[in-house]
Amino acid sequence: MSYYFAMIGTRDNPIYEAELGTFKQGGDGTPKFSAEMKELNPFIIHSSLDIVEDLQWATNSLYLKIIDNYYGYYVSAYVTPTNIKFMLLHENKNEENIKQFFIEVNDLYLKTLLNPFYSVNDPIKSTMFDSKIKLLTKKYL
Amino acid sequence: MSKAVRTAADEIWKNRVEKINVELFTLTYGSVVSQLCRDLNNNYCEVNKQLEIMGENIGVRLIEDFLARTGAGRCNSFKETGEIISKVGFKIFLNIVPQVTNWTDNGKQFSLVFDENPLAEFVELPDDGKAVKELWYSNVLCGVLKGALQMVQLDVDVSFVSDVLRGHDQTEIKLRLIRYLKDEIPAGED
Amino acid sequence: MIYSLWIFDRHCIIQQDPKAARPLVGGGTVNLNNDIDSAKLLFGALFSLRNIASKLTSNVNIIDNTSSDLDFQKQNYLRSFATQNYRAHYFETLSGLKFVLLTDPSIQDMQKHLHEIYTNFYVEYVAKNALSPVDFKPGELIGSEKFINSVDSYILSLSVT
Repeated sequence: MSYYFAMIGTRDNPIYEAELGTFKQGGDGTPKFSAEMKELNPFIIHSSLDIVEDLQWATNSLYLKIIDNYYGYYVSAYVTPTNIKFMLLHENKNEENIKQFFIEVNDLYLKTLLNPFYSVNDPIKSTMFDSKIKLLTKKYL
Repeated sequence: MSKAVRTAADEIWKNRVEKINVELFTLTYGSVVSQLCRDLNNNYCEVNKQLEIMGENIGVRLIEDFLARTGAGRCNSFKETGEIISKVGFKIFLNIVPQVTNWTDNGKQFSLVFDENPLAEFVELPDDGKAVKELWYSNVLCGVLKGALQMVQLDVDVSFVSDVLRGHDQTEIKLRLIRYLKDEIPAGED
Repeated sequence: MIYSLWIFDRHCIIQQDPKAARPLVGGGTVNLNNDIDSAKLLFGALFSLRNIASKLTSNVNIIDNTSSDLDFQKQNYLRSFATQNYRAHYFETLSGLKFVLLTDPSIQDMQKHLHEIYTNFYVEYVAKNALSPVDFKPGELIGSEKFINSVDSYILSLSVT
């Protein structure tokens, strides 16, 4: 089971993208997307952005659960108060864990924001951020 | 002597110092540094210099506040100066107590080793290859120490040796005593 | 009766007269021609007395014997001197600031009050004011209104008691 995680900024620009693999059930953490899926993943996420923008005003919770479905792949979303969208492409429904994952990613994002050299909508290039995301994958996905 | 000094400093910190939010402080300093980098086009050597000048301006005023709060008398030796700086000065103003180490044999140089630096919480230096080699993020501290010691007739050269932001193991500042400044005397009187 | 308050920094003179409750014009550096002679005389007298006081102390604790230009004896500080008509109280900080209070000879000890003026007024309104210079140029006075007013009211309150 593989996941594709993206953080979209306020101008619909991707700030961070990662392909993650599950660690549960003997998985080794490497994502297993076929070549076509690898190309399609960003498109799927991008097309569900519209849905996110509609849904975010309908509810006052930050976690928007599963918002879209593409031939068996689910898209979940989480919107931060400053309109940064966290999107996760996944194959199995796992709402509680994904919600926790998003909440911890939010914490990580806050710490990145506290860095004075980072402005909003800058791409996140830090390797520390990468490794922390991998740790979170281990924990929740 | 040093236990008494430490408890006195703790007492001053607890009762007679106004506290502010550390995040506000860190973010303010961070925006100063990042704005300086932007204004000076990432010329990190120039940024270091400007931070030191700002620090000196702070230091010459901070020393009055320090003397008023602690009522400290003149130190008998440079070693004592080092102890007072780390146990009282840093404690009162930043609530940290850096370690005093690396005394040279003639007692004219020592290092302060910081195990935490409130100025640099959550900071990662920008990834352009130059910053990690050239920028001393907390260089304002060097200026503060230099300016403050200058007002009490000590000419000290203060500089960074290593910084965790740059990937080193620890944050270390070196203080080297150059000379004692003589008191000014009126013309025609010596 | 408090007659006047003088503040000398490491180089210059800044002066106040509590009776007039207005700062008088004055100033000069230690090395240039002073406009007001009394300031110069006062400074000279205090400076000499201060040096005598420290030189007459025996060398109690010379700790660092590695440097010969050290002069850190246990300092003896000048507190006040008195003449028939007035007593001058003196307080000096490590940073070279000198506070002098001229009162009538019956008042014995003003060290506490001078220290108060330093910590509560000078440090608050002058040292912490980033826009006021630390090293005053010749002829420049402390410009901070807050400082002048608060020191004036403090000294007036002292005179009343």
